[in-house]
Amino acid sequence: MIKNISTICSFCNTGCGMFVRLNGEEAVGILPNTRHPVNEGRLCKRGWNRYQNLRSENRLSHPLVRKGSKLEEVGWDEALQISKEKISYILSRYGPQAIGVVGSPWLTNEDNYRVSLFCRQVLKSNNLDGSYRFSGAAALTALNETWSGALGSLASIQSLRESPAILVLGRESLRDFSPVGARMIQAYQQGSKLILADPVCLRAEHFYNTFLPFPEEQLAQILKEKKDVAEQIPRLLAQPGSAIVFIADQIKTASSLLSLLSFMSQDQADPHPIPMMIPLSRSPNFRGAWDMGIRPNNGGLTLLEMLDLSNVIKGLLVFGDDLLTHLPSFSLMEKLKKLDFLLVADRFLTDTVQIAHGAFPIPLLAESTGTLTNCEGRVQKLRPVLNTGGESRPLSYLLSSLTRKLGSSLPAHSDKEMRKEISLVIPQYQNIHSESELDSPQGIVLSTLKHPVIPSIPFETREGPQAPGKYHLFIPNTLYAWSRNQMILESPLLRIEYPEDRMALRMNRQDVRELRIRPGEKIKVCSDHGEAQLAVEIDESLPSRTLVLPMHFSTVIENLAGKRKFDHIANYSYCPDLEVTLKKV
Amino acid sequence: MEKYSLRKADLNRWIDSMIDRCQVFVPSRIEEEIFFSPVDEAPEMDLLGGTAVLPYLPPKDIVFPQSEILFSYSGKGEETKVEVPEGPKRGLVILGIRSCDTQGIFWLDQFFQENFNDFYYSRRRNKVTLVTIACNQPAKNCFCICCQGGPFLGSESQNFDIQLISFQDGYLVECNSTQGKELIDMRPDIFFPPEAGMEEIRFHLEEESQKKFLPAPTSYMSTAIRRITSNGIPPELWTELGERCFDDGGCSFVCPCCSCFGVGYLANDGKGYHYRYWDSCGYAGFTREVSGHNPREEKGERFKRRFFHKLSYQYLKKDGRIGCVGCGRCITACPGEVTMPLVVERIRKAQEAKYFK
Amino acid sequence: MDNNYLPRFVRIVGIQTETYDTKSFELEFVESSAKEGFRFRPGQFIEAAVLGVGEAPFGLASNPNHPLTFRITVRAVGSVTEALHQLKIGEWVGIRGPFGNGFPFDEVKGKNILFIGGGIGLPPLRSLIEPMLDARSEFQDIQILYGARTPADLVYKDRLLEWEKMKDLRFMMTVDVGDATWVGEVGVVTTLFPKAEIKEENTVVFVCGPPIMIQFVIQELIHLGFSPGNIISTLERYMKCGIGKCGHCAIGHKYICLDGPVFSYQEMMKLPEKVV
Repeated sequence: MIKNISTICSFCNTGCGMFVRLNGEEAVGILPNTRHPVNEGRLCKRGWNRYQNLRSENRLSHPLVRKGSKLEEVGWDEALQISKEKISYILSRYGPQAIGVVGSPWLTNEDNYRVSLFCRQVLKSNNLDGSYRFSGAAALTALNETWSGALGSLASIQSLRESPAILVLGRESLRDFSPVGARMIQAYQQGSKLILADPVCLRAEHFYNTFLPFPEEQLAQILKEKKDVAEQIPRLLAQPGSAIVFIADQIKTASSLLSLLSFMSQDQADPHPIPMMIPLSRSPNFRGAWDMGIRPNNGGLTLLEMLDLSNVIKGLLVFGDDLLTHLPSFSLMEKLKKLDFLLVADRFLTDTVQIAHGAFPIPLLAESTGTLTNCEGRVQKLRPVLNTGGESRPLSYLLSSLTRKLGSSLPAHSDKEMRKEISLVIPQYQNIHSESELDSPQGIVLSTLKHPVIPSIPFETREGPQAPGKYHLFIPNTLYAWSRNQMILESPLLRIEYPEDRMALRMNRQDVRELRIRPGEKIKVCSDHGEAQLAVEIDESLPSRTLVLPMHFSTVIENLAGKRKFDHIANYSYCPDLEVTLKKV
Repeated sequence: MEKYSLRKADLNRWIDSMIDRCQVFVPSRIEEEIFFSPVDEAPEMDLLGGTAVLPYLPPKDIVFPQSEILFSYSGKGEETKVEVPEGPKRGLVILGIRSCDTQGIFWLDQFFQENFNDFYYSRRRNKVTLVTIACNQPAKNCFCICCQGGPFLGSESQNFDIQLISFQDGYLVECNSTQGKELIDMRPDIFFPPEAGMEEIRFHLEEESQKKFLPAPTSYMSTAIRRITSNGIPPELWTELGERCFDDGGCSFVCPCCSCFGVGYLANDGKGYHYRYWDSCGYAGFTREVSGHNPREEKGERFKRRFFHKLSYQYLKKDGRIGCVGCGRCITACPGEVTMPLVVERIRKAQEAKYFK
Repeated sequence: MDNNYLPRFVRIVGIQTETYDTKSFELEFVESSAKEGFRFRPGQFIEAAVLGVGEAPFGLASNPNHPLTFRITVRAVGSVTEALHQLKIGEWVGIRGPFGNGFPFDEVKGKNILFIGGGIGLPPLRSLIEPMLDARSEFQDIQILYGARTPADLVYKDRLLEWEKMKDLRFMMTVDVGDATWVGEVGVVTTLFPKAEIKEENTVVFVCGPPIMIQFVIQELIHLGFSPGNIISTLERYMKCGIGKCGHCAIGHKYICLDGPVFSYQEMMKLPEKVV
């Protein structure tokens, strides 16, 4: 007999309502909730096939401990004891600032809050961060600046359909987040103006009224050239109810987002209405993790610094994240391998687990209680639809056991008690203590405490026009990581649906012809810094003399770009676009 | 066809008797969403009246589940043991299924039981008795009237076992099969011969119901069928419609007629199973070959495929009806709003538009 | 009711390495009743499963007149084919089938038969070539043209040599790119046409190979005046069930696994999608 359990989807941060359909202990189906305000009966293909990855064969089933070169299955007690000894050793030998802790947008608010307490109060380290430091911290920082640190509810997906104007940064936000895309199409049909700004594509689907290339580093130049657009867009977005939808993971610098926002609100009366913000992300608790304090404070190190300063950081504790998925680069692997102690708590036998010294199995989000905060600032409760697999134990158990073994103490709070504390400590979460409201399918929308104020930041100007004979190489953060996401890999349908991106240089058909090469053939890419050989693939949506290489192929990009560029506002480094030349091999 | 009358108050007593012998699925609320669920107590009567109630998940899930194990295995080589999970032991009654969904099961019957009879479909289907309720009042997305999907089923429809027509305080019961008769024979004490005038009221109700649909000329459907059959729709129109498709697959999953599936394989320590799951022709991976080549890489091509299957005369002839019953679920599911009614309208209007000069 | 989703087990009784990425497997049913009862027509296919890894379709590549053991020729391109390549003699494989319509046989008796095979397209043709050779007198001229990318890509090398020597069969082969030892023809398979003295009259052509090769061969045959009804080929699509249910291989209202894989070019042209 089939049981239908109402919960929310934990694939991305849209936060759709769905029923997981169980036959005994097996998830056999999904049905979107037609009454949920976020999705009203719609889901994307990941959501519809969500049940398939709940029957995984690659779960991390037992605690693992590295003995010599091999990871061995051990009991919880042994793994905890060994971890405790390593941590104590590092603490006593090098001090608390030699330990780094990584929380995760794939953990609930409650668990992230626990991680944050564990790091700051038990380990007394300030080195706490999340994997969004690889992609997404720029957007979070920009929002944080705008809301002076108290991001409340940013918008409502449902009311997007009434927006008079929507600025969309990145075309994937319409395609890959269908409940959001659905409202944008509804808005378009009702006469709303849709403006697409995409980092690399040349043309837009027909329902965009205006198309604007959005290579962040060239934005100033483009707006200077397109005077009509530059005048029109701020006027459109000044209308009440208008919105900006963007994929936060893809924003490269905080300043580009801030200067775009300040450009949009130029010459407006004060206090002017500010567009709604929908920061989409491929991780389900992108905002929540940030809100729960998963970021360095008091001079603590960012994740990038922790990895770079191998003489300072000796131990890294990673909770609920597969770091190598975000940046599968050779040098990241080397950096992680240099650590004296790498502890990973995760659900699957991931690449990061494979190189860890100790690994602990924790439940899937579908097996957890706790809350997630979606892109609108809606806090929703997960229902544990499945029984915990294997030897998995909740993260709270892992943290409290380590705390006890380290001779410290933290109150062992249930998720409910944790929420109580969160509501007292984090201002915009003050209203989440009402359990009955949280139990309703639509959850609780965060309080907005402050009117956002956009700091006035001018566009950074960039050096002169493109040199003759050179190609512009964009290094965007595509949603490529979907195809490396363990939840995708566990589903036979989604695995075919998201084929692994080949490491290919995408370029315009005309350029390929001019170079007299065939798709699939290799070409030599030369930058000021280095060179690389890459197979060529045609991308019809690219303008001439524009090349695209997703940032995930970071080993190659490290060769070409040398160093990542640093965004000082966001404490965040990114792959800058490059001027390159191409040579036949 | 035999006809009876049944008082509304007696419906529960009838269901009680069925529960003793069968598993009875009726529309029930779970957190405000309606599902066909097996009942063990009194059903929610408001879901069993003349107003259309269409659980979002179509009842095809009962005969062709979203995912099901084909067989499990253990051991290697000569030790290999293969096991097929058991099918339903007891009879299944789907009570409160609406006309459109009944017609959907008819289409699935034609498809799954032709050529190679589908073992898993048939072993469930053969146990199922359908007690349909005619719709006196369509729901907002309904367009069954354009697709011979309802709102009432005529006696020429071979597919329902029993059709209930909701009156003020009772039902007119139309019994169309021996399985249906068996259900009625369980409680001879509550089925009475129809009262005088019930027949006329029935046809009056049917007419009234038909009037409640928005003006939806059926000719739209036939224009679409003609153009699709002759492959006469310009690729540009498919491309344009395809652009609005999110390839989420939702339309296929909630469609009472869609039957495509994929097969997954799971192995762990020499044990595992092969299972099938609902798939959608809207997905790019649906036709992608191992080499990476995909004959339907373009969304427009996939869109064309979907509507060819739904509306071409070739399929109409093969499966006895068009592959759409007008339930309107795709209207709820589609984020891009490229739903059956919209596509049919666009094909008709394309006649005058730029594509046809 | 038969459960057509359930594999029956065969034992691998022979493995032949054909090329660097292709192997042939001789198979025999484990159960004697299945072994005795197995019959297939030329051009039919089976679904072969490596339990837990997956299932894939393979054209039967041996003589249907000797069905006690049968052959499939497998190129390692994906997870299932790679798993099959790992198997050794004596190991078990689950199979379902035979499925599909198969090539016409009786219908083409009394005609000239022209086979055109490319690379891994020869195996399915072989299931037709061999029984035709068994009933040689019932056919007029039989001619086989075989092309592969390089000499290393030629399959059934031993059998090719035998065909070359046969008196009542004309066999020619070519490679796109030769190597140091290759002394034969070089060029795509259509370059053999003038030498092969192909005539359209009373001839039925069977074409099998990679899609691009089929496309060019058919173009050339039409150019030479062949009628589309006399050009017979096979279509390939991603498929799962083999019995017309899963929907993956449907083109128009035709299911490759049920109504195919064998289609005449005339039938192919009627499909609502471009297939060649």
